[in-house]
Amino acid sequence: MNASDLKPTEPSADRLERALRAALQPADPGPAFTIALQARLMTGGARPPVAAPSRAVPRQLRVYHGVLAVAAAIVVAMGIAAQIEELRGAQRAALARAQQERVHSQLLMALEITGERLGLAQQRIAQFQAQEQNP
Amino acid sequence: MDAFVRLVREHQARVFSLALRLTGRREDAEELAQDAFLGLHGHLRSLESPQHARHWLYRTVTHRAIDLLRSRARRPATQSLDQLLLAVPVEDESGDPLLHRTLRALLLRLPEIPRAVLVLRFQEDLDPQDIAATLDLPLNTVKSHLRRSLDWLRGQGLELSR
Repeated sequence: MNASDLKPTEPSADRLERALRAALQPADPGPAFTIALQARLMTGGARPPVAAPSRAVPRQLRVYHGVLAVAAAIVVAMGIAAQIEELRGAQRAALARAQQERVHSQLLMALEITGERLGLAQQRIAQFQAQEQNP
Repeated sequence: MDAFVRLVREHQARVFSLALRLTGRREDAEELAQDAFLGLHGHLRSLESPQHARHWLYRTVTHRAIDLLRSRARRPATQSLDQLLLAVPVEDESGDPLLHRTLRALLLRLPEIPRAVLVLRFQEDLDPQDIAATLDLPLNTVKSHLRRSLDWLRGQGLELSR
């Protein structure tokens, strides 16, 4: 290395180099650095665990989350469909029960009417028999 | 163990600062410097002198920092100077803190190799021959990086009148 290579050729160069030396003064890393280094030395060089940055989610984890979301959506959709089907079944059962009750009441009414008419017919037969025996 | 502790005490500020000026991030610098010292611990028997240990540390931390910078998708050179000024770690310093901070931010806009050349030259006061040995570069390449990087810094309109 020729010494003249590093000599400033103009005053501003000299000032720039002095400014660079001042700006690049070694900075002390602090006591935490030494403690962390000692800890790593004692644990065989293992780095302390750090939380994964929120944006740097691995691709596999993103795919896993996506699959989970789709599976959850399918389960919810199936649950809703089952509930709708159950409601429809209940409605159908209620309609059938109402129809049965209507038929039952109509039958009772018909029986009642038939019973009344039968009673009237028996009364008339009884009256007719009584008239024949006692003319 | 005593020899190792002595080496850590003697070199930790320079090794950490080297990593800090190359990466621009305190967390990366701490990790790189610790990695370098742990590596040194494994090589203690093969070190011939304190100068050898110092060269080993500078070489290791510089190459690892360059590897880290190259592995990053987003390079500091794509950021504006204002963004870099905000991102540059705050340090205790005398003189002109704004000028010093601006210089450190401008360094982060340089590609990895010229940045390493400037830091080794002006922080560690290595001559170009030692820089070439540390970075595995031809001497003329180191001189060329040095000259062009200083020219580029002069062209940034810095207030150097003080």
